[in-house]
Amino acid sequence: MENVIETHNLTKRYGTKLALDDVSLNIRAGSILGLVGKNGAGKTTLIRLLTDVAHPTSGSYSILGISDPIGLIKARRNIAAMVETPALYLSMTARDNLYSRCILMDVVPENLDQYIDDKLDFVGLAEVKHSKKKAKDFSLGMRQRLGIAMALVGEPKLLILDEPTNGLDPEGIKEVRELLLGLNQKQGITILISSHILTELSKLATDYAFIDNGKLVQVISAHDLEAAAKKRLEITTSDDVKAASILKEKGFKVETAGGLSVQGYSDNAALIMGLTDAGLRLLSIRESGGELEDYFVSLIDGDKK
Amino acid sequence: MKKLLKLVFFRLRKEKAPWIELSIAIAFGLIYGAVYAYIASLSSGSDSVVNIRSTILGTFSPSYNIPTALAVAGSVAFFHTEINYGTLRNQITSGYSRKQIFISYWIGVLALSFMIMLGFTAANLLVSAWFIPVGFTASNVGPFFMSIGFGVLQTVAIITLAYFLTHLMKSPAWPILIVILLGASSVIADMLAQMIFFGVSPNATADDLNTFFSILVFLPNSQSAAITSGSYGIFTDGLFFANLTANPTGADYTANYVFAILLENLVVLAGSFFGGFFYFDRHDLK
Repeated sequence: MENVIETHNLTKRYGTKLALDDVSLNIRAGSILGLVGKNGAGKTTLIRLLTDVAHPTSGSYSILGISDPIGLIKARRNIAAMVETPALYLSMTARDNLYSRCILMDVVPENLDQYIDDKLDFVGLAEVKHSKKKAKDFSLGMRQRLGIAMALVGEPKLLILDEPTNGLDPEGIKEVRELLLGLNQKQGITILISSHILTELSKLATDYAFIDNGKLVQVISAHDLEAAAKKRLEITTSDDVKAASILKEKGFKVETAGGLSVQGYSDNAALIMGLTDAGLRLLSIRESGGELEDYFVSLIDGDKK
Repeated sequence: MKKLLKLVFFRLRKEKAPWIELSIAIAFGLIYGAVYAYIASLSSGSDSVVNIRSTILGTFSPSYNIPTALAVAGSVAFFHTEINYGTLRNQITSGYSRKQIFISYWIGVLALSFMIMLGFTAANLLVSAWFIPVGFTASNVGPFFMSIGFGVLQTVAIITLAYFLTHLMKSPAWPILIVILLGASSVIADMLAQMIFFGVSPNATADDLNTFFSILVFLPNSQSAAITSGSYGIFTDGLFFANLTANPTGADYTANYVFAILLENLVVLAGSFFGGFFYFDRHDLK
């Protein structure tokens, strides 16, 4: 599959602080890449570089295979970005904001009013189609939706969204998620989305890029991540070596690095009975994993088992 | 770039602020017209300092009068809004080069500034035309338009300087304050220069004038004085009207002041334009 974006050793330094360190990343066409990292990890910096809001200190990137500076300017017509907050003219109505975007993108449909109405309908802002309400009076959720509507003008091939669900209520988050899934699945738009709400991201992303302290820690598909982040039981007994041997004999998948843990279990009672019948004392037992947050934390903390 | 310009003018048309600034400029124009008319009523004769010619020059000449200050504030606010709303990012990510964006907004802020200046002038004329002498003679029409040309150049330079400073500073208050402080300091420098070189006596010596014109280039506000003094034998500036015979020896200082005005304004204009141009092109967006 063709890559929409490829970065090569992208580095950004602000004074003495290394905000992005040698990041090489590919974004497959048709995918939803979740950019995962703590606040200040470098997610927004990466997005700022890709959108030319900031210049890299070193390294390069290509959009749709184009990497020369002049070509990149034109190639950016195929991407739409919402960096940090939706960029709206707050003193204008939703319709005027969309009209300004149509001017910018040189979108001249036969029926401009209808085109704008369609975009507003699509993002669930039908109620402001003919309203004189200014964007500054919109709720945060409405602004986010209008920002997405503006991003969709000109039918981009890649949507770059930086924390698009920030400040939204649960209903708003769900709506934005469904909107993005629709865009990806029905229109084939590739999406790069950064978020630190990992449970939300896990309902969307087909791939993940984990970033920490400016470094790309891991790129993994959702499928592989699911396997890697499986639930496990972390057990402490009076004799962990003996316990591991017993559990292996009983067919459990056991790992001993950093403590005794068991994956792929289904019958907790059988596991516990097996250990106690062998005369071992069970000191602690804890279920962990299965969640993106756990995987992320273990990845970042460097103690992934 | 046509699309960018279309967007800039769409914003100018749709936003409230430019229309509010224009309204304020018109209101001040009407007040100025009335004040000029009152001052004119105190003087007499066709050589009165206060005439339509001098009021029009007054709009463009002393750099730091009301319409210029409004134009500076309006321009800074207009462009700063793009930074504040984050909408400049939209343009960068929509396939436009930073150079195109910089030039488009520069044209936009100049258009806004001239709209404000012309609004002020038109309102001023509306009132003053009824009460004060026109002041035009066959001999001063040519120099008048030359002076207006210099005034326009000076305005472009000032607005470009303010536009450049807006790129550098987080708060829009700073560029406005800096330009106005520069203006105030140049007015003070101009007044000091007049006091030092001409004193209270209207009769300056040739040496005084030579010295004055040699330092003219460093005194922005003196340019306006020179515009009006060189050809008309009348000094005006932003704070008061004075009537000085600036050329007692009959020497022609036209070349001196034209050089000074052109040099200074072109340096400010080119420095601000290219400074902003390269800064915006190479620097990360806020």
